[in-house]
Amino acid sequence: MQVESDFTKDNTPQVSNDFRQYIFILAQDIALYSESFEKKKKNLRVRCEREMVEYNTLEYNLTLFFELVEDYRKSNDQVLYRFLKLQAGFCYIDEPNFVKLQIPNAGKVNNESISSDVCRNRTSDSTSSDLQGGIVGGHLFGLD
Amino acid sequence: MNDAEILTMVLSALMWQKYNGSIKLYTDNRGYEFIIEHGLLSLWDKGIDTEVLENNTYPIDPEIFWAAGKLMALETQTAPCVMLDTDLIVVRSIHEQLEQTDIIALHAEILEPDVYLHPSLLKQPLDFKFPDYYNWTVSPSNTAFLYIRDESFKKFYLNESKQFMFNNYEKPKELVTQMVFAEQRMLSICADHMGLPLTYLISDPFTLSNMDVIHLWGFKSLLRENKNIQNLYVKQLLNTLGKELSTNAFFLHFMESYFQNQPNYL
Repeated sequence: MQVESDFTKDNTPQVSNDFRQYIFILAQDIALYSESFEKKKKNLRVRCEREMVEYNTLEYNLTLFFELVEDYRKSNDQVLYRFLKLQAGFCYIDEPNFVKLQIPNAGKVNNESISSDVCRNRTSDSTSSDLQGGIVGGHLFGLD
Repeated sequence: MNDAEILTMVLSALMWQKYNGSIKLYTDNRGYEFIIEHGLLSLWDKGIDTEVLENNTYPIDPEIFWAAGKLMALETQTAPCVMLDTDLIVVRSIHEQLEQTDIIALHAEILEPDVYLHPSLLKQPLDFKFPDYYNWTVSPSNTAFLYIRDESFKKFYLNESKQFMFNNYEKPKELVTQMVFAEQRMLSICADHMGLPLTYLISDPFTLSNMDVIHLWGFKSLLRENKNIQNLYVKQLLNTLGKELSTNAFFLHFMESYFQNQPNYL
């Protein structure tokens, strides 16, 4: 039977480069320079209307992104970094801009495979091969 | 179980039925109550069995051998059969692979000496001795997925495992090494002894060439502690696999009743 899912499809909605740049600067101000997201929401709403982007969705996605940045800073968990990168996409932050945000990738790994040794984290909840970032097939649902 | 784990279990069962065949859940009364509470009673087309685990009288310490229930369920099923963990989703048909081999596990494991202990360090039942024919150098196998074609091999493997688990009550310092020996290393040792080829669904747990399986594995601990990750994982899983099940009545009902009031996921 033919598989129906296209696991490689990029579902990121298209927006103008101006808007992308605006979001990047906003993300930089908040994630890097700890500025208030609250104070930027009014302007964000105006920009969203101009760009025909659903404001509530983007606000939710950005909030989640900033929370994940904080979570990642506390844990330096490699799989969290992968989710952070994924969430950046929902906020129109493409990979080059994500890299420019300079969120240090603590567990940088090669592209082909990750050694299970690297991420081993044995807790009371662990099995023999439990890995801190130990999801198998994450790339099948969008993780890099 | 959190929402992400429940969704994974639902997709695991539904995707298996879509691409690979029928499926039955083995659980205990506590698990059954959970299934009822969450409206999942008809998720497994071959039903739910609680008798095997509830009526079992094997002298096994469930704290030390926490996955022994899987082996009891496997004992009940007649080979050829597949044992599938509820946190593992097979996303396409694997019929061809199953037809070509005798035993398939999920992937090989590294023979880490602090996980897969030297035999002299394993706690053993009284009057037990490891058979001389055990090859301690073979790589253990992750059994989150396990296919066994031959009933006699299945019996051999389970008997060897039971001999080790039965009346083996001495508590280890941790609760990993005894179980993974009895289940995962034992499988490879038995296959090696019987001269049966043991193959794997994926060559490496993290290879990008894996187009077959999603397995939560150790990611469960992060999912449990981080609600944001849970939301994002659920959203992505629904985005990528939801359309596969867009005409599945159970899935549609599950989505409606379970995720209707949780817009964060959608």
